[in-house]
Amino acid sequence: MQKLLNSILRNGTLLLFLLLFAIALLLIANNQSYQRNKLLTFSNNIAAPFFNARHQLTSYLKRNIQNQQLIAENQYLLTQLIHQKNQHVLLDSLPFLVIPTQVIHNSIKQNHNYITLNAGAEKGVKKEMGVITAKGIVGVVYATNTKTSGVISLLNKSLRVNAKLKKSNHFGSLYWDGVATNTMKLSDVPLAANVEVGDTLTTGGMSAIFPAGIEIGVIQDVVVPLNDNYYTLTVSLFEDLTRLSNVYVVDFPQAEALKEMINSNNDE
Amino acid sequence: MNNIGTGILWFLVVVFIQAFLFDPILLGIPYAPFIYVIILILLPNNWETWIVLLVGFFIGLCIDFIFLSGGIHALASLVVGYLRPMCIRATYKDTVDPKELKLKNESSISLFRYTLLVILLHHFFMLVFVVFDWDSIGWFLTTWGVNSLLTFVAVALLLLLTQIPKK
Repeated sequence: MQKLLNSILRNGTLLLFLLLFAIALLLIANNQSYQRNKLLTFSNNIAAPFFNARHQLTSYLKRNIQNQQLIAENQYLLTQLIHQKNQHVLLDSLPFLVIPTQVIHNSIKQNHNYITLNAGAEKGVKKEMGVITAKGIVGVVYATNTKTSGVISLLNKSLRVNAKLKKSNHFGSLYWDGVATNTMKLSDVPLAANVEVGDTLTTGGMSAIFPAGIEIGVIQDVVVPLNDNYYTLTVSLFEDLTRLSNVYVVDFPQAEALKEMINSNNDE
Repeated sequence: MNNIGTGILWFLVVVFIQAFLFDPILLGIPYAPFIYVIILILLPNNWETWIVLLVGFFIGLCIDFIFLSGGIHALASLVVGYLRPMCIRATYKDTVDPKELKLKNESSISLFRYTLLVILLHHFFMLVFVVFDWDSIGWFLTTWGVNSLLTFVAVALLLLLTQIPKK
């Protein structure tokens, strides 16, 4: 404190000069519009890098909150998008929600890969719910506990997903052949479908797991078999399943009722 | 200007002349001598710098008040008040301590050199805050030169009339 006082007394003249200089600048800025604009521009140029650095720092510190906001926003937009795409499908009458969650484990090197999510029964995640992202489908929930849930990854040889060609509405069965993490196979598409490379593949909407119309990927390769009436197609996925982070679990609240109705119809 | 009474008289006369005779708007041209700078030159050298700063600021503020120029003259006078010891050292190299210097005891040439230095500094800082733009550098240099010359002529005349150096 003594040192500070001594320093102030020692540099008193300089401090007085700076104080009066600042007052003069203030007077100029307040009374002369041209000088005010120039001073503002000048100070803005000086201050801009500091503001930018501060913004970057606060953005970094607030990234969790911002991520939460983005996830919530994505959740809303994704719901709107899927609702819009499903307007013509029967399942549209079934309202659905998306539950935002994060991937905490994702195996990709096995033939049967699984994903673990950090949302469980507590957040409403149940077995047989679909898991999607904004760029495609990810898998199907096979087990849940309170805080986490297990998902059969699309990169799992035992999983088959109903899909359809966007252009011709022909349905097929999508599965992983265990070769590459960015491609899958589509079988059971009849030759009449006239498939071309580049055709888009979407979810079929034939179950209460995935809403219809979610784009999955594009046809990368078309093989016409010699002794078969069905294509074997290679599909290039839109979503990179090896780099999953934020995903959404699709919840059809009335899925059980639908299943019961289908079962009772079948029984009759 | 060693006693306060003379100083105040100088101040009133100079401000009066500045306001009613050497007002650039009144003259209708951007050039006018700013003779009030003479007060900054004649302020006693043995005054503490902080007093010089306050006096310089106050004089500039009065001129700003008359010319409605914000704080341009206050700022220029303040800078001159702060840099005055440096100007004295630059002009009177033989003087050991600027505070010991008595202008009346020095040569007229040195006094005019010192006056010119103070005027150039004062007008530079005054115009920097008027122009403020590299695009107007030509206008700046012209106005700085012409105004400095006019001020120097006016101040030199006043000095010749009132301050008669012995050497």
